[in-house]
Amino acid sequence: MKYIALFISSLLILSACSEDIDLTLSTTHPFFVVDGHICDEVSPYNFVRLTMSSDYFQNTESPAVRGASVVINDGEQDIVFEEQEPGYYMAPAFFAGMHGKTYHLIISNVDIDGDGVNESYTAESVMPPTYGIDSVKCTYDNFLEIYKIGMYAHEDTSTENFYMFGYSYNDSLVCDSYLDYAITDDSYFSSDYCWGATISTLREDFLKSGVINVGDTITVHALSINEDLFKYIAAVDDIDSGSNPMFSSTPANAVGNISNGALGFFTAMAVVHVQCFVEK
Amino acid sequence: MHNERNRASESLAGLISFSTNILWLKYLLSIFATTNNAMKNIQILIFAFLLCVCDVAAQKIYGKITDAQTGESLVGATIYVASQSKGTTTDIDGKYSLPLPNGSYVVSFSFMGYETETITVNVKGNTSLNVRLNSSSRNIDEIVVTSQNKQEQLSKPEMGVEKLQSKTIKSVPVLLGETDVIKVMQLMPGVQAASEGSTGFSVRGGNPDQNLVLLDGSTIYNAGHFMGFFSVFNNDAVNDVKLYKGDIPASYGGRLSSLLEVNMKDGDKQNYHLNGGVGLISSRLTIDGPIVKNRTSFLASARRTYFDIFLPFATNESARESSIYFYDLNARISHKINDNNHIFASGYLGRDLFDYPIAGMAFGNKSASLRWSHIFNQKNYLNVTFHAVNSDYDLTMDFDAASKASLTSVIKDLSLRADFSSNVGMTHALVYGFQVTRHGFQPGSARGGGSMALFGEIVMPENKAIETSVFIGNTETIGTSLTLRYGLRLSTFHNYGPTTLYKYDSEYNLSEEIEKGSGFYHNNFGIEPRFALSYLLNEHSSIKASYTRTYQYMQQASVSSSGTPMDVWYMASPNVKPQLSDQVSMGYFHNLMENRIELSFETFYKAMQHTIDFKDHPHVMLNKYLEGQLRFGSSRSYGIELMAKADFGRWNGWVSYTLSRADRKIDGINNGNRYLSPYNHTHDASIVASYRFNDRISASGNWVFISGAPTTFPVARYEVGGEIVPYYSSRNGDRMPNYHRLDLSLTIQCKNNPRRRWKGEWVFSFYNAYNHHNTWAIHFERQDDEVENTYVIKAKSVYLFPIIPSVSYNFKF
Repeated sequence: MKYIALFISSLLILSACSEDIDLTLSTTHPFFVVDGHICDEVSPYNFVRLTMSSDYFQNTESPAVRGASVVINDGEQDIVFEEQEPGYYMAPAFFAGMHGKTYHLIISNVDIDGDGVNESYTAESVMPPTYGIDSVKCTYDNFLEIYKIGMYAHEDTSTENFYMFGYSYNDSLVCDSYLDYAITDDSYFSSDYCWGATISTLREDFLKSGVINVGDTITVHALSINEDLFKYIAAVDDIDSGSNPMFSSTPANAVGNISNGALGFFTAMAVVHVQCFVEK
Repeated sequence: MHNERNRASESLAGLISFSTNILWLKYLLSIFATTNNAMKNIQILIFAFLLCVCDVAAQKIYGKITDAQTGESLVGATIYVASQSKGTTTDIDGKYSLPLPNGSYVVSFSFMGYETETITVNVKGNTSLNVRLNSSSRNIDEIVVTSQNKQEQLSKPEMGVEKLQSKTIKSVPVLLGETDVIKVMQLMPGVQAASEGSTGFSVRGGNPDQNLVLLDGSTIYNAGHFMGFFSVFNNDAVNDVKLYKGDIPASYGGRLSSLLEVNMKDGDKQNYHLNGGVGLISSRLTIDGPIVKNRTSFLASARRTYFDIFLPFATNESARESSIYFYDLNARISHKINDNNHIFASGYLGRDLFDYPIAGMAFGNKSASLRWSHIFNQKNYLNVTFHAVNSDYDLTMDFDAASKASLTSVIKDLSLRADFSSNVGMTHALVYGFQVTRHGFQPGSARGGGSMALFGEIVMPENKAIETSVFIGNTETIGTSLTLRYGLRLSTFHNYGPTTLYKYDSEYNLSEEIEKGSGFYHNNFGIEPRFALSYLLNEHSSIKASYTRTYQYMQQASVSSSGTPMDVWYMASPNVKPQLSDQVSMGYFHNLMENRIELSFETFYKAMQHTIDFKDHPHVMLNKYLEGQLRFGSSRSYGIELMAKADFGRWNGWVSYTLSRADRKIDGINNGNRYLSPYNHTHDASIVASYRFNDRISASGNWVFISGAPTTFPVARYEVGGEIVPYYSSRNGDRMPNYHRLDLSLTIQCKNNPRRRWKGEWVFSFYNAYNHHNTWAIHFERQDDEVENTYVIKAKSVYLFPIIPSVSYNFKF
């Protein structure tokens, strides 16, 4: 349905004009922000980033929160994340999550409100299982004039599943932020076998090389995610698509899963990598 | 002078005297008040009505006032007997009735834009007097600011009512030259566009779906074309428009905020006419005339846009294969069976089509009504109307042969209504009746198609209900200064199956799914008292007060402020209580300079219960669990409305100003704190003026100023998952920039050859004449192209309409 909204919006926007406007926005006290993710494999993306929020038009990188104690408990042991760059707390080199385990994040030794007493912030996330992808295929759609990536996979219809798809092009990661990924719930797949449904499209302007050549390598990163992250990213996407009087609801916050009034998200996700080549 | 006079035979002696009748009514109402059985109550009320019908009466004059040239009924024309300081106005059919003791009187019949007729009448018993008034002007676009008698304006216990005649509507400059009833209404105090250029409107801070829009009595669910930028009402087919902003008569209900009545023209029973116009985006043609002279007439009107004729010249291939247009067809037949029986049939068909190679959309309304108007005797009238309404939309997506999808949504209503009116004695005017409506909503059924369908079939459960109402109202004149209007409306709403019901827990998560078989499964009742009074302080001024309670059983699932044709309607149900509004208002009215200037000051307070809003990030479309997306609470709105109308012949116009506030308190939204309604506009001012240079040239202009609509801007940013995410503190805590705009138009009549019937005129207009870039939306855009710093976000203002000139040619034959 979003396509129809976009289609009509584009008709309107075509006739409409846009110009810079000076707005003075209200401000609020800074919030503690957690951005943490772990996956089921050893990965440079197993880290927790701690920052502070800033004024909306601050237009610089968020200030890092340094010197915190960041520990993840998997029900058996504590795994300590070490701060390697300001605000970036990395998992130990051997760390990989296990399917079905619940991971508790505990952040302590931080005094965000500056009252001299340290607070602690927690969150938890269950590592979802991966699912069976047989293959992916990248073909050109003559009508839409675009390269589409299709997926062939088994879908477990007995549970409600949530997916997130990204890809690397010739081994360089194209999707590096939440909204670069495509997210969907399993209502997108009509039966227990997904027969080539489009999960992503290639865009030249996203690629380092700027051109798509037949025979180039595409690696699809297919992630299983939890429902709360799915809702969170959907909310961020909703906010990001902007607001207008015809199609949008009132902007509202994306609700994270960190305790004690902090913003952001901590999540466990399972990933499968599948390769294919660009076909004509 | 066209008038015919005849004397009606003396009416039958009263079988039941007036006083006995009222006693009966009081007795029945007392039973009504103490009985719990709804069916029994309805029977009692209907019995009471029947009793009233039997009442017969004393002496009076009655008849119909029509336009001498076109035969069109004149609504709101004034009948005044100076010697008795007594007057009345014509009703919606141009009929009037004025009780007068036997004797000889000088009666004047007047209507703005027409020459006043003064007739000496010898009243003996009931005297019928039909009058045809001549248009006072040769100018076909003369502005008519006031359409009712100035004195009447003071004494009628009617507040918050705005009336417009087709002629007034025509002279106000509008977007792209498309004359629009609703856009002119938006210049009245307390009425605002839901967003720039939109025909959705908010009355006294209410939602656009809280307005009951009736075209010849049939409900119009989606009153906008082209995503709401043009209204469905083709002004050439419109006779008059009346908007009740709060003091809604007992005979109508079902919406909280207002009643907008649009009545179509009757065809001329004498001569044929052809009217039309050619504008920038559409052309119109209306033809009317007699089928059987003096007995049966017809009117047919058509309008179609032609943006799409330019599409084949587009450079883009997809655009060349696209089509985009809308059309309206209006038709009305009126037939006189005899002096006491008339039949009116009217129909409307309007549709929008967008067709793009990969996607298409169509939506529209169809309505038909058949009315039988019967005169029992000079004091008792009956109108029985049958309505059928169909409103739908249809989306198709056709990405390629392998994946297709379509979605349809339909509303079907069937309705039967009876309206009785009886004049009892000289001082009581009763109206009573009932309406029964069957609603059927299919909120959406979607089908995937092709070998790689994106989804299978999704069919939302159909919602069906019976809505009934019985009503009674009386206007009572006490002495020379005090007039009371009071009434009672009993409304009921019954959902029936088969359907699937969903139950939700306290967290709004689905807890149970129940299959309901056929039969009623949920009932709602509402008792809606209405009360109004007016008191004449002196010849020039009056005070008025009113109280109105209304229930609303159906609403539209619009998450945005202006809404779209794809917003489905949903009903009161076990999960959704009917909305309820109590409104009180008071006003002071004063006429100056021999009634050439009319001043009004009104203040209102509206308290609403079971107000509905959507949760954050709602999913509304094709969502079976729509009701789980709703949050409930209360809301209120209050304000003052000032208006000054002036009519100095060449110069006329009005100035209006509204100061108001509308807010809500809803569980689960904005942390349960009170927040502004998206339709809260603190200041709203408009100036409308027109000037006639001579018989051929006239100019008009309007200027509007509206405080920026409440909106939500971020107060902070944070980084998660590589995104810069905005953080919001309170809902609708910020404001869009203020809105202001000037529109101008110039009308030039072609030199008329008196021997030719063809009359033409050119209308030149400028929308947004000083090219103010009114903000429609504000976007926050991340500046990706800045290599050095990827953290920069800028605010962008999107505006829809710069200065837009237009020209159109209208003709009359």
